[in-house]
Amino acid sequence: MCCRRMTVLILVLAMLFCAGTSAARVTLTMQVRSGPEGDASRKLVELWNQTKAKDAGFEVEQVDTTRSGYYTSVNNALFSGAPKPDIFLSYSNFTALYATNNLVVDLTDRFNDPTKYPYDKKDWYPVALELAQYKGRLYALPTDTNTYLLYYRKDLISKPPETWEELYEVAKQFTAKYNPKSPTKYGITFYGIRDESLAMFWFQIFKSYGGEFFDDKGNPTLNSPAGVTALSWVARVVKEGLVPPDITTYEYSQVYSALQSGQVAMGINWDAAYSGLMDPKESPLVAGKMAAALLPGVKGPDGKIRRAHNVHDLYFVINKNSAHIDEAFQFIAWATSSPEALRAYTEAGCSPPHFSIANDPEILKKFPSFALRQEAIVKYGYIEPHVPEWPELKDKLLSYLVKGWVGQLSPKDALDQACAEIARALGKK
Amino acid sequence: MRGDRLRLYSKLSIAPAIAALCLSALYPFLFSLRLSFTDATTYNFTDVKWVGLRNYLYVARDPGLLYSLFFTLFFACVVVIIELVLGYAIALLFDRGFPGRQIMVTLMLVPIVVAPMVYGLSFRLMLNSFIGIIPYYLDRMGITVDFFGSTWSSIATLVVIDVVQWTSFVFIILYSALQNFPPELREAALVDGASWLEAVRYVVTPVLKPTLWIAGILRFVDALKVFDTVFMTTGGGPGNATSSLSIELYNRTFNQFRLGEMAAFSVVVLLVVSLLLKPTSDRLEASYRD
Repeated sequence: MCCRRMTVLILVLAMLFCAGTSAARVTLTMQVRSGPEGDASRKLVELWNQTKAKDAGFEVEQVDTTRSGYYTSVNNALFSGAPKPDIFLSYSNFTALYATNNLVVDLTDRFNDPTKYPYDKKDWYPVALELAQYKGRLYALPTDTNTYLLYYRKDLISKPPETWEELYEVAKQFTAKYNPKSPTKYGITFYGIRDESLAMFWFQIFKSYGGEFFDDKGNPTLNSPAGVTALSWVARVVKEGLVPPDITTYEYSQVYSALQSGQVAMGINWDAAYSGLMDPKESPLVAGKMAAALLPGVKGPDGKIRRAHNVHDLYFVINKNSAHIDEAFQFIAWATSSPEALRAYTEAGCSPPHFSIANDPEILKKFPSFALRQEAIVKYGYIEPHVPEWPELKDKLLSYLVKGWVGQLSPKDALDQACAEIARALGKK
Repeated sequence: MRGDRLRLYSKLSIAPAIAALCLSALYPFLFSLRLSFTDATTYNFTDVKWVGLRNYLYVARDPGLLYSLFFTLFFACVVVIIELVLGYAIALLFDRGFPGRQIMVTLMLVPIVVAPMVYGLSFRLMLNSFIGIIPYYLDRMGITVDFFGSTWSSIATLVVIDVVQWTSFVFIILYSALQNFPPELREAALVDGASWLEAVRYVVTPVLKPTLWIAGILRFVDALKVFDTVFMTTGGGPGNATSSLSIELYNRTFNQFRLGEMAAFSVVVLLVVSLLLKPTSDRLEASYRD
């Protein structure tokens, strides 16, 4: 009887001890978007938990959230003031919004403290850090700096088109409707769903035609001749059926699937698509036949091609209300800057904005697109306006862009109405 | 005395439900009503200013919002009519009986239990030009269908998706009513020489009218809230062709942070829907009295 009681007592004490130690161990929660970035982040989390968590005294737990409406869910969580998740994957569209509304932790002092950030600051692409800053203060640490690339079937197209007009001609050549002998059904595909990436895709055409977002007085100028020409180009491509008919439902996954199917000759998609399209296991129909190139542009009077590559960061931000800000910074600093984390993240198919990664011969051998991506970002990259209202203004633009390119409105009317909405939102006439 | 106590107990017993209703419906409505007269956005939430009827004037003049209201009403009417007709026809068919009917009734419930978001995503994949199973088999039969390429094709596709999911809901309500239908009424009609169709038209349907109205109202109110399937398939596009009330509210509230304006829009929608439903519920009451 006495032995039995002792056994029970020991068991209870052991359970209490375990509960106590697990309660004492800190676990950070990190919210990430599902897809390639989610898969790659999971590798980082696993690596941290296996190799660093014990010494650091905390673990990280990743929560994957659906891609649809992801950033809306992040912003809602931050505005709500909830203390969890501690870390969010977000993107540079929102830097000014986060900064002016005090939603995320200002990382500047920690970043400049060598005891807290013991990594090489010069290794960053300058534009990557610029996107994470607002008025000289740093609010995030970038995981990826992304841009769009033109993917094309190199077995069908010997030289990728250099201008938008050339792209139109090549796309027509590979659309079965105009060329029954075409080995592909459609010539080109790109984003079409009402999503900020659609605006980012279109801005590249707009900027390459010489467009500017605002004039000196802060009035929107998306309806300039450059804007009308850019939107007319897309409207023409859609109207003439050079793109799949359901393109208005297309975001990253659908453009990727279309290219994987081998039924589309070219596609404009994020650089993250490169490794999957080249992988025989993931894309058996087209691996070995795909290549990537810089986006087309507009030929200037000097014969040079003016290209514009949208550059944005995916980055980690720390929730202002997190109870573990120092731990969160320690993790995101390691995840975005330590050699082992950068390598793991790159091997998982993502693209950290570090010169050491893009210039590493071993990595370039495995991911030849990195050189191209670096050229696109560093040489032709532009960043969108860094103002708090920008997410709202971009969202207002979206419906009008698609109306313009499916023919519900003429390109001029669509952009005029968009500019009127934007001006009204800015309190301008 | 006993009657007073009974009345008191009756009131006490429904008090928790009333409290829950006040907390979950009345308080948010009053809060929203207050917001609708301010310039509230997500950024200035703690420092809003009174703007009077400015938000209501904005709602009355904004073509996008007005379109979403009319589109949603149109969509709700179309899907409800189709689902009522189909659901009733299937319920009558099942009522006649056939081998394996009970298993089929259970299978008919499957679409209702699937989450609308999952439904929408599934259809988006199934209807994709390149990887979709439906275009694949249609193509093999030499049929090309444009599911999302234009305004009307997108609307038609959304109607079909809604009908496929929710006809079962109407079916189960009407089937249950038919199972409780007095058999002697139908038999009397048949004995008098009426055909099955005439019995349905002149005997069954008039008796089932209140149930048909209830099924219709429930589906109408639900269809007005359509969000998940639109969000996962067209996102409200092309342009704003399939932008329902909920989609428009979602985009402008959470992506554009316009809380005051959208609160005003919500109040307007509530008034419109209440005005539409009032004659319907009066008619329902009248048919019960009949």
